[in-house]
Amino acid sequence: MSRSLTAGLLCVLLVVGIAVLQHFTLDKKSLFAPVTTTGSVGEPVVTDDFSLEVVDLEVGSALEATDILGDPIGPVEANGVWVLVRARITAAHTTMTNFPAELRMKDGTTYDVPGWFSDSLDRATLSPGLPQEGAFLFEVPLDRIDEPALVVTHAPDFNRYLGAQASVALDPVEPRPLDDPLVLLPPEVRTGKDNDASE
Amino acid sequence: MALELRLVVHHVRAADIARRSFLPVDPLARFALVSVVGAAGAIVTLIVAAFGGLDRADSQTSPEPPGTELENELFAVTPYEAWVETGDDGARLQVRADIELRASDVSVPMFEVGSGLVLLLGPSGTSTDRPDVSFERMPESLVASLQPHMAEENAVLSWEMPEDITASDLGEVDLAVHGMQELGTRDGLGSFWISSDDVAGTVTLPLNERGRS
Repeated sequence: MSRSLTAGLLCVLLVVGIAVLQHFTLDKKSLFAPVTTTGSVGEPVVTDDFSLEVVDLEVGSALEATDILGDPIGPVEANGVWVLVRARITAAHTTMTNFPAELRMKDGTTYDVPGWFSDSLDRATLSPGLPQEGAFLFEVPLDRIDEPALVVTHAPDFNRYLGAQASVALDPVEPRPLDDPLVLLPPEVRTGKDNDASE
Repeated sequence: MALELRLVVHHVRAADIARRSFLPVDPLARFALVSVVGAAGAIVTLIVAAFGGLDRADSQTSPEPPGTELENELFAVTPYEAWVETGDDGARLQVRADIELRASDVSVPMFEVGSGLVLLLGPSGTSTDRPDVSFERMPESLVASLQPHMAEENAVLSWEMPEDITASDLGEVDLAVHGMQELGTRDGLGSFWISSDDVAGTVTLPLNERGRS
């Protein structure tokens, strides 16, 4: 009698154990998702592959820039607003060429950099240790801007598996469209003592 | 006084009962009938399957006039006019339309969106999909992807003219918007959209003289 009681107890324990362990299994998405480091404006966000520091944010309804052939264009009206996120980014170990940037809202709505302009910072090639300063450009409906975060992911060979990712909360920056056109300038390599993002 | 009770038992033969079933009485005949009907059904099913099966009834059979919004599971498009533009790289069929990505909270590549934008050319049944898209405020640049919940007015959808068709053959074109479905990638990190054979709606567009040559 006590033997079957022990067996029954063991079975119950096993089932409970399995149920508990089940909570620790990761779904596929979590297994492969980028590894995110979060931060805020004005501080370097250091990931395994790069560091990113957001300097400021500008919002406007018109933009002057150069197209992908390098010809000046503009001012181009936004369908909504242009959002320029000025930032400094430094590759840590390897040359980085593919690091897509997104503007992610509180509700998960995500905007990509439009492919029209060659000077957005995500088009740059980053050599290790050489900080580049420029701006990520987005086009967003004004009423959709809600606690936006700039999310930059290192995706070598267009592969985001476990890629280094920096997420910078842009809140509480007040989105206020400027009257003058925003100007998107090409990224510049910044070296010097004032740089603190390459650490 | 004797009470006489008389019980009359009336025997009825099986053949006299009013027949309620169309099945024959004989079990063997019943079996034969069911077998024959079953076999006939199977043969009909096989013949239908051999000729490609049944088609889904079209939810919308008649094309709509220009300016009608067509919406599928991913985006909405309102085509207004169509014309032929002849440039250095040959003739292109162009359609002016409003377009909006509605059912996705992330951007979707134009290549995936375009699989649901099918242009039907004349009675020959020739069709072409995946247009190049540009916006009025940036006419020289192609749109790589549609951003979520941004209604774009007066976008230009542009298809290369198929080789076997010339502009003079066409009086009008039909823009058919197909259904779309989202498939997850194997790693679970992303997804992509493909079009289905279902047609969400069609607009007939007369070709006008807007084209510059």
